[in-house]
Amino acid sequence: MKNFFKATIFFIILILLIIVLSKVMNPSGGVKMWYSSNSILDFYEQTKDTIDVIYTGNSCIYSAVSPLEIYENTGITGYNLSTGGQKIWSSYYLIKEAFRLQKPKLIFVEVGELFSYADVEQEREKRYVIDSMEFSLNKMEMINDNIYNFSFEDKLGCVFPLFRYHTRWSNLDETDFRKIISKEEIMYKGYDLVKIVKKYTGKRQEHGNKARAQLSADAEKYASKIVELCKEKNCKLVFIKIPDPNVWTEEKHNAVVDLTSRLGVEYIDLSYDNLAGINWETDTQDVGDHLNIAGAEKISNYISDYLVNNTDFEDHRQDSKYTSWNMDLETYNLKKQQQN
Amino acid sequence: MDELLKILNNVKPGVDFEHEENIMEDEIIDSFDIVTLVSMINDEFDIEITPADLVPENFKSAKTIYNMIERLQNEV
Amino acid sequence: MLINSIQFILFIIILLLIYKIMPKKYKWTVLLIASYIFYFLNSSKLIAFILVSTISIYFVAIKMQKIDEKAKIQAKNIEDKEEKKKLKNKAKKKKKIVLAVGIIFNLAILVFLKYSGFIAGSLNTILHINLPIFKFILPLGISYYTLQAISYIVDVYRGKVEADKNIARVALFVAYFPQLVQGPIGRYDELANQLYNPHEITFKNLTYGSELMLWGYFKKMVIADRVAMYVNGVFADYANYSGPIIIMAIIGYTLQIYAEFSGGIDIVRGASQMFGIELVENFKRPFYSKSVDEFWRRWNITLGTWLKDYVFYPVSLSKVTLKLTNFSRKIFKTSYFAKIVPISLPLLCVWLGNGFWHGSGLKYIVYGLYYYAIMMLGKIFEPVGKKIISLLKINVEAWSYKLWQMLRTCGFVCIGMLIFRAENLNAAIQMFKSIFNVHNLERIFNGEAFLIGGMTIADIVVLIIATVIFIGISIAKEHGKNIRESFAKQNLAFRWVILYGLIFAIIVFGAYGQGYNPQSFIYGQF
Repeated sequence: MKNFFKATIFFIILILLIIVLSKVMNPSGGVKMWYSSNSILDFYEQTKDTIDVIYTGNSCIYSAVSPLEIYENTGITGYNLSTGGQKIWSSYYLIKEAFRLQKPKLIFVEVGELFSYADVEQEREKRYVIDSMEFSLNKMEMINDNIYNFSFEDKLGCVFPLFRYHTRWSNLDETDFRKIISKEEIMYKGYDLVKIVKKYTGKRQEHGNKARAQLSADAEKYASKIVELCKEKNCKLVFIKIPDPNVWTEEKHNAVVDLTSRLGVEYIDLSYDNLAGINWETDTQDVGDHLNIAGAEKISNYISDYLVNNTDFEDHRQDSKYTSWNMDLETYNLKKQQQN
Repeated sequence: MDELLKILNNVKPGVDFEHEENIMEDEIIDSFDIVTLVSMINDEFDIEITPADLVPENFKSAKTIYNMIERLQNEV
Repeated sequence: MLINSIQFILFIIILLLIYKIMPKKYKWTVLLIASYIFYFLNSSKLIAFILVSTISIYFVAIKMQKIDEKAKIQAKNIEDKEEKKKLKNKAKKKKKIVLAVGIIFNLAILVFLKYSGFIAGSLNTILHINLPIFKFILPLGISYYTLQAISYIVDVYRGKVEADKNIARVALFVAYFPQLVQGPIGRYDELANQLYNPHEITFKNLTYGSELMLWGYFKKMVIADRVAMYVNGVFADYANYSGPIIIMAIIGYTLQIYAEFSGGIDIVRGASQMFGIELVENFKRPFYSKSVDEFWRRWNITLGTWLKDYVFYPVSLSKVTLKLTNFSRKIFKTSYFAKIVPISLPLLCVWLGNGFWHGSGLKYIVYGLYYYAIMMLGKIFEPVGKKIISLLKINVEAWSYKLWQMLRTCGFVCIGMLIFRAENLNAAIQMFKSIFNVHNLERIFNGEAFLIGGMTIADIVVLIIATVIFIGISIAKEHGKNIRESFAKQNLAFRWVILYGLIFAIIVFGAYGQGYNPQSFIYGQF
């Protein structure tokens, strides 16, 4: 009996060590290039049931929607749960995560990835999300979803990142160790603040073409699941397209119009109709692929108006429960004013 | 027994086979010597040693080898 | 299911639980079923082959025993000694035929699946014909279990072992899963009862067994898989490397195969030990050998003893060889050659067997003949060597002399490994020649020579430290120290620190997985 007891302690300590080492080796929160993972990592720091609106999608939207701008305008709280190259199925699981920890009443889903296929998804696009998520039943369900094409070893590496990233041992640096204790704030409620200006001078959006691009069946499937989920949770859902002139076409716009009318979901295409008034001389950081702070302000203002006119969400600015938001807003504004 | 000792000394001179207790396992004679040993024993005692007999138990000492020889002679 | 995979470990854990709760009478069936499940997971439909082999040896053994029993009964009723002898010989002949059928049948399967391509190809080249060349997927462990199966029927023939009436027991002996991947090649008298008798799962067996497995994983994943990167890099592109790099690659390969093979054996022996079943050792610090002869008694031990008992002795005692022995005794009297000539034939059979067994291809035959040549030449020049030693008054007990012998043996072995590993004979010859081509020495001094195949400085540091640990443990074992026993006597804190160290050394430094290439994780914003 004594031996059984000792062995059990041995294995418990072993598992704990694996968990700790996994945290160290996990690039999320440590490696610079994984900065967009912070969107998810910071989400777990948010107080329960304080977020009213969720924005989710790929880098287009995390460069374009600043929840703190919207809070400043309206007092409505929001969070941008988006990472680099994030696919619709990952957004689906993140939305589930959001419902697990918060009670959002409106979700915006960026539609750029409706044309992406699972078999060409890059490993990093899967793992920016998975490796940033806390362990939960939702995460286990996600890891076991065939859409990710994980082998048994891959799945083990998702549960214990140590097994996937063990080769990082020779390039660990202090951020990897510090992040176990504390983490630097890089994003602002999931928004990536960039001040660089690199203007876009390419073609303007055409109008009049009736053709439809081919939607990805994988993405469609998960778009439907998102619709189902939001219905179940009594949460409003809006599909949105952030201005993205290098990639977005009228055919794609038409295809999404069809899809959203089929699904019965509202669709706002800010790329097709420049409803937010984006100025391509000043509002993009990388020749049209992503907006910068100037562009984000405009998009955020548009959304602020949308929220005021279409919802009855409360203004939390006087609510004592939300003082941290006021403080975060101050930090955010200070950062905006800095030289860089 | 004397003939056996003569043969053993022929195959591997300089060893006190009268008192050796672990001939095969200690590799006093190696697998190569065994072949010569066997052929000489077969001739001298008119028996037929088979691979089945080439086990450490039979080749522990001169005595055990002799026992094996006697057994094979009687088995006819 | 590879043995170095999490699945294998889970398999063992589940199996241990089931074995523990099974009633004593049926514990062995757990091993049998598990072995077949393991087999099926690895080779699926090819499981038919191991079934066929098992059934064949079961019936061959039973038949031979029946022949013997019948002859015994008949002999009782006969008084005349001559008649008795005739009867015995007739029975012996019958037994021999049955045995031959059993051996040929099983060997034929092995030869056909493994060597038909090579044989057809060679015939095509030599005779300028056009036989079709098939390449078959080999059933798991066929080279191992076939030898084991043959040893069973030969042992029954020799009366060493009784034919087993229970075909399931025979099946377990042949298919016992720990030995399917790379041996050791077991013998019926050592293994069958162990497998069949129920064992208590003891704490000691569990700890000793898992410690041995950990050590095996350490050797395989930290040392072998790592140095393999370097070795593969050089061998795949050998024309571009020369001199010391080739030497390092050859030594590296020797280290790789030693760590991998002995590590694999540790894993399966450790796993087996947890069930209370002891498989024989297959390695005994082979690089301590002072001669190539000794090397092959310390490396892949069970293959060596199998060849000795089932090829060397039968051939040495065969009529042909005995004739040769008598002939050479008459010619050479008692001179040294009287001994050498007769062993040349059985030894040739052993080495051709060894070469062939290792693989299908010309280089494997050359591999076998290479060692044959070394051993024969060694034997032939033994008296000359002895003379030189006495003339020069060399002290053979001096540690420096023994060191020379070990290094010399290592040298021979490394060249053998070159033949074994090179793409083909031509490549081996090229590579050997290029060892003497020493004009890129600056690659050593600026470190380039070490960073081939994706090796980094970090890898080299880990490799060196791990190898030093490996050598250290080997030295301790060679001096008679029982590592696990002395480890068990240490304090708990120390033991746990070492165990955690070993476990995490494997998980962190093991050369497995896709690796983390920062480049592929850069999100280029699309």
